[in-house]
Amino acid sequence: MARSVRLAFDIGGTFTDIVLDLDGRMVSTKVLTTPDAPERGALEGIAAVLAEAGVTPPELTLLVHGTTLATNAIIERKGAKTALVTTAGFRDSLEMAYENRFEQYDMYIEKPAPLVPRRLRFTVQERLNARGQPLVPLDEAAVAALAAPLREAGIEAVAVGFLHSYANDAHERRAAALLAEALPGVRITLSSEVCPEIREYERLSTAVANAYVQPLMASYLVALERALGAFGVACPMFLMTSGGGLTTFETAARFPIRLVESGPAGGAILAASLAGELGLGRILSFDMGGTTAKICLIDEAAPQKSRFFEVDRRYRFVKGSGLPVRIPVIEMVEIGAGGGSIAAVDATRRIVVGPDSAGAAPGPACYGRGGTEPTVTDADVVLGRIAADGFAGGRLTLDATAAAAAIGRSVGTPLGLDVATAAYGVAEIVEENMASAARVHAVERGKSLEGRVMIAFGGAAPLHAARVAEKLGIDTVLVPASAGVGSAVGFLRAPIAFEGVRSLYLRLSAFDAGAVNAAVEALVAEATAEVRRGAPDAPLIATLTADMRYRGQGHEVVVPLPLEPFEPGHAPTLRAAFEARYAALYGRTIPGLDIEVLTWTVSVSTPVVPVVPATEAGPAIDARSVGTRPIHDPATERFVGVPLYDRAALAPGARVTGPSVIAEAQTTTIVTRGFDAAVDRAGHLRLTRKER
Amino acid sequence: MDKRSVVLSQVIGGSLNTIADEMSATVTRTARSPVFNEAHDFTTAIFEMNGLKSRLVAQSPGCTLHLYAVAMAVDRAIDAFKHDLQPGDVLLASDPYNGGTHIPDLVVVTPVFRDRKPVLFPAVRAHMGDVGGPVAGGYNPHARDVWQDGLVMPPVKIVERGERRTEMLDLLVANNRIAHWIEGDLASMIGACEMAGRRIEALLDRYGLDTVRDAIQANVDYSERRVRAEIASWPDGEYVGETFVDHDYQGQRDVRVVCKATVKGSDLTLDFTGSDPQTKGFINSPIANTLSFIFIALTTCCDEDIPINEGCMAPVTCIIPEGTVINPTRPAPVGTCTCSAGAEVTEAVLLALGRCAPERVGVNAHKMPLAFSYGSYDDGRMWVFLNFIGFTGGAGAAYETDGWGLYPPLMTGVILPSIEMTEIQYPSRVLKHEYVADMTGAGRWRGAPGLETVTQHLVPSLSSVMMEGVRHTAKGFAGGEHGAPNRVFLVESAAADAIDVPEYAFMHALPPGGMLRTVRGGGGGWGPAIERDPDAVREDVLDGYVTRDGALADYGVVLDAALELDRAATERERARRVAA
Repeated sequence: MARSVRLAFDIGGTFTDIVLDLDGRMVSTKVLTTPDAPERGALEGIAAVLAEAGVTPPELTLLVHGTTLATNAIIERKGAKTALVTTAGFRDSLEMAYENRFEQYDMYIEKPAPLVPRRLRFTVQERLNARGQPLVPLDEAAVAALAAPLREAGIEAVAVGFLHSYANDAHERRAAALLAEALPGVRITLSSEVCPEIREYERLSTAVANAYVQPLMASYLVALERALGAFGVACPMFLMTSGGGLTTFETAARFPIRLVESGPAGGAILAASLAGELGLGRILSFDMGGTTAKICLIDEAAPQKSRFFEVDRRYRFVKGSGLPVRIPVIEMVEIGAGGGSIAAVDATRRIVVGPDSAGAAPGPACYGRGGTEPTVTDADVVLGRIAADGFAGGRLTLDATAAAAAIGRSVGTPLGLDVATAAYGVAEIVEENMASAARVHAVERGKSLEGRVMIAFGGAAPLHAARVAEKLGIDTVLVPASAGVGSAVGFLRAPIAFEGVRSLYLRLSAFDAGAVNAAVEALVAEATAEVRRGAPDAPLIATLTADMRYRGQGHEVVVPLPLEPFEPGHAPTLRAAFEARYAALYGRTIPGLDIEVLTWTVSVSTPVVPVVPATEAGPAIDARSVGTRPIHDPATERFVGVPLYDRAALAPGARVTGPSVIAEAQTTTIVTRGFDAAVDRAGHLRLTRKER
Repeated sequence: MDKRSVVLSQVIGGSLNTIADEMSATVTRTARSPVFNEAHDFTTAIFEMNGLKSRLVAQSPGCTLHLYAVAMAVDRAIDAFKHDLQPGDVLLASDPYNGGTHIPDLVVVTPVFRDRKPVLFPAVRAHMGDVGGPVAGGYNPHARDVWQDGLVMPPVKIVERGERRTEMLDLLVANNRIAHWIEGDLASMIGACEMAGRRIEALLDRYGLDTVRDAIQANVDYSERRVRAEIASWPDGEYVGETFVDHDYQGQRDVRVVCKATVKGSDLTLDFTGSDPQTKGFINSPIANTLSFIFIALTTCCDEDIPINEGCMAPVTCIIPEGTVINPTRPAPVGTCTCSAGAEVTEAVLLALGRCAPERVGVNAHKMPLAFSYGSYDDGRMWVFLNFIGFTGGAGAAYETDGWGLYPPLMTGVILPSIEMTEIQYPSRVLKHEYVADMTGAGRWRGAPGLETVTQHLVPSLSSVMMEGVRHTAKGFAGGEHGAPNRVFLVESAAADAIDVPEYAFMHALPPGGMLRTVRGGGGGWGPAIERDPDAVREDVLDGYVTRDGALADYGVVLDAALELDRAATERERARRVAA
């Protein structure tokens, strides 16, 4: 059998993670991201990993890439000069948004600026009704007349978005054809193509965001493909999408907006895959990196998907302070709590941590790269949780004196606390912030946290996982092998997938099987064609869901349905499927009320990469410590020497009693006083709450 | 206190706020009516009872105008059952003269016991889609007394020792037009309170009552210190703010609300003596509502990161004479108090404080034209269309911030409905929804743009309109201009003349194809308009928020025909205005 040599790299805000899977043996590294040219840092890291593994680029059999580039283009407003063409009378829908103020007590909050300012939003006469029937024909002369002002304004990309175009895309297509003819070289995004869903603001926002990042992403992908080719890579290459599936470079260039949040999606895929492998039913995935923490609830090894994401939440990651895009995403909450999150004391004596991050440059004070503000990583260094040497695989030596000085200056002195207690406060607050985010996220989804197993990965998570678990009443924490580069590991477990979506409104009392079948068939064909680009021969799995609600309700429930042709008499079947889902969520149904279906979604995917279930971890053996490390003990407010273990040297079955520290190249796991730890056969570390 | 109590009080305070957030999420997820799950017109909070009076200790961001009013409702409800309050009880109340605001706002609250005493009270206040009474939705401009506003509910037990009292639920349902809404919404409010009760018990188990109380006290003290520090930064003195409600729907115009703010060190006294007597019409604001709008004014004047709790009000003494439009006596009608005269209470406080701390006031605007239409489908079912889309807009500017958004801080959580969804849900079409140039309150920072909306109903309809912000528009601050007046027109057909609605319309019949045209005035400006950066004015002209003529008229900014800035001419024009 041919060798399997699979490589994944994830370019994040602070670190670029690289993982090589050599017939099941993992080699990984973590390098600082090079924001000016992200592919440079990545190629250096790839070269290092390949050298370590003794593999040459042509030997790679698969390459998967995830990047924050699209997200950053939006956050930094460095995308293309973009125009919007929309329906007369609705020039400002993109700007009005939901119009709600996301922080009620702050008078000075700025509105998130739309990616297209008003002067570049043009309207033309045309109008469809909610069924897609034309009320006013498209004014083609008016569309053609836009070419001159668009050219004059130096427009590089155009989004076309008309009211009710999800029901009928004819006007958008015709307008795009006219513009394409008059403006060669300008990229055009149709709202009916990138997001054929009801609710004009979100559809327009998605179309505009796609148009905005498209020229940049298209050229990045071409350049990257070329650079990897020049490096000698000749294997199939895929991109990780926010929905947790892999896609081809070609599809990604058409829908680049689907690449935002690819790193966190990889993490969720890893957690879900581990849950399946280990037979864990209910999971809390906890991914903490340099800039943010991501929390995702996973039941039965399947992360919850949604089609709503906000890019660039500018105001403390508060909901509503970003730009919404409707793309397939894995449902999770992300807060500004990472190793690089900056700690401070507010006007009178409260510790605040994040969301501002020191990033890779200047980085935490202990990096010695010019950062002076204390970060969570600095607190971890002061508390003894991170050793000054051996951080990020020994690539960085940390300056413990600088960390202590920064914590003392910005937190200790203002509060009259010694440096260690101040650092403890910083860690405690960031842990409480993450626990709060998890609690609210759970209740917003109608789920509970009790009895879940936490899977902790990302460079900073294993440092804080046990304490967060204590706060949440979680008794088991799994720190997987290669936890420090978990997202990239997840990339290698993701299927090739595509999700097609379309709003087709109907009431069950007037169910039109023919119309639904036609729409679903078209979606299956579209999604299958996209997946076949990357998986010409693989067996495919297709699923169907419908967004349904009782008539008049404001929120839809996603209902899984059998993917087979509907018969005219199928309305009661759909009703039963909806009511089962509704009752599961809300504990009740509403007899007699009509049901509406708004949107239909088809997912087509290759089978999830099969994993070998891990067996029992053999007989227990006592682990041998490699020394002791003084860490801060909150109970006694003193530094106490605790056993230090080298994770690489821990064999399956090894048992460790808390409190202790388990160090590895890309992260460190803190086993608190309340936990014991054991290594299972696959090399995962499992922390279990002590009997009380 | 050991030195880590700094951290512990922050953690416990954070836990209580998270419980309030969980309550809010529970209500959003499980409520039935769009007012809840689409417009988020509710608030969740936790109160502490230590002695005889309850105090606000934690809250979740929601519809701010409810928030502080809940404290009084909790007090009254607990007082009513002081000899008969048991674990597992859930109380409900809506009496405007017993800690209520207007009747559609129901309060649900449950006691959490420790050592056989009730100590903490999670509560929800929410605007119900309907609560019975003479007019669907509860806004009856013809009301002459509170009974014509709707069904008054004194404090009652809706759950007793964990058992639902079905006869109380039946009473509410029997008086309601949309039974499945109230039934579902009440269940969601009760469920949220019961969930919070369990969470609070766990918190008390974990830390112990004394530690939790110490933490609450530390947080309340902290908020008080922060607000006192803010007040102390204002110069001592007396400052008067005055504003008016357009009319009371019974013929009385220009109803005065006045506030004298006295700043002395870190103490603030707000004296509303001189405000007009209570009116015949339904603009009267009961005391709990008035206090809530004072609380809004105060909290928006202070840093946004101050924890919202009772400590914020500790430095403030309020003098609100009984028998006035902002502290009426039974049975004065109060149906529209959460718009007017509530908004004018906030406005008067901000105008007064603007005289000593101008950079701390702004944004306020709540003067919206309320309009709703209703009719029947072919099958006889009723539809009611709340014209959210048309009465949105109008937020004012603040220091260093142009106005934006459709609702001022008062109603932060409210969300603009989708036009496409609206056209599916109602027999209606939205023909226009777009900014209008030159309708903004000009200023060094300008208000949100004015907005024109045209809504067409395809079937016969009845429309009611309640106009505010026509005679007295959204106020500017610190020398900024006021916003433009609101206008609403009823258009019976394309051929007929539009009917201008100056004060209100009640169940005006429109034929199929009839339209409502709403012109929402922009928000007020902040600071003199001739101090606005001329380049910012030019940007606004390029974006069409301001016309070239408007730039000259409103800002003294001269642009040439190519819309380039003529700096010399602008300086001359502005100098001329200063001299004049």
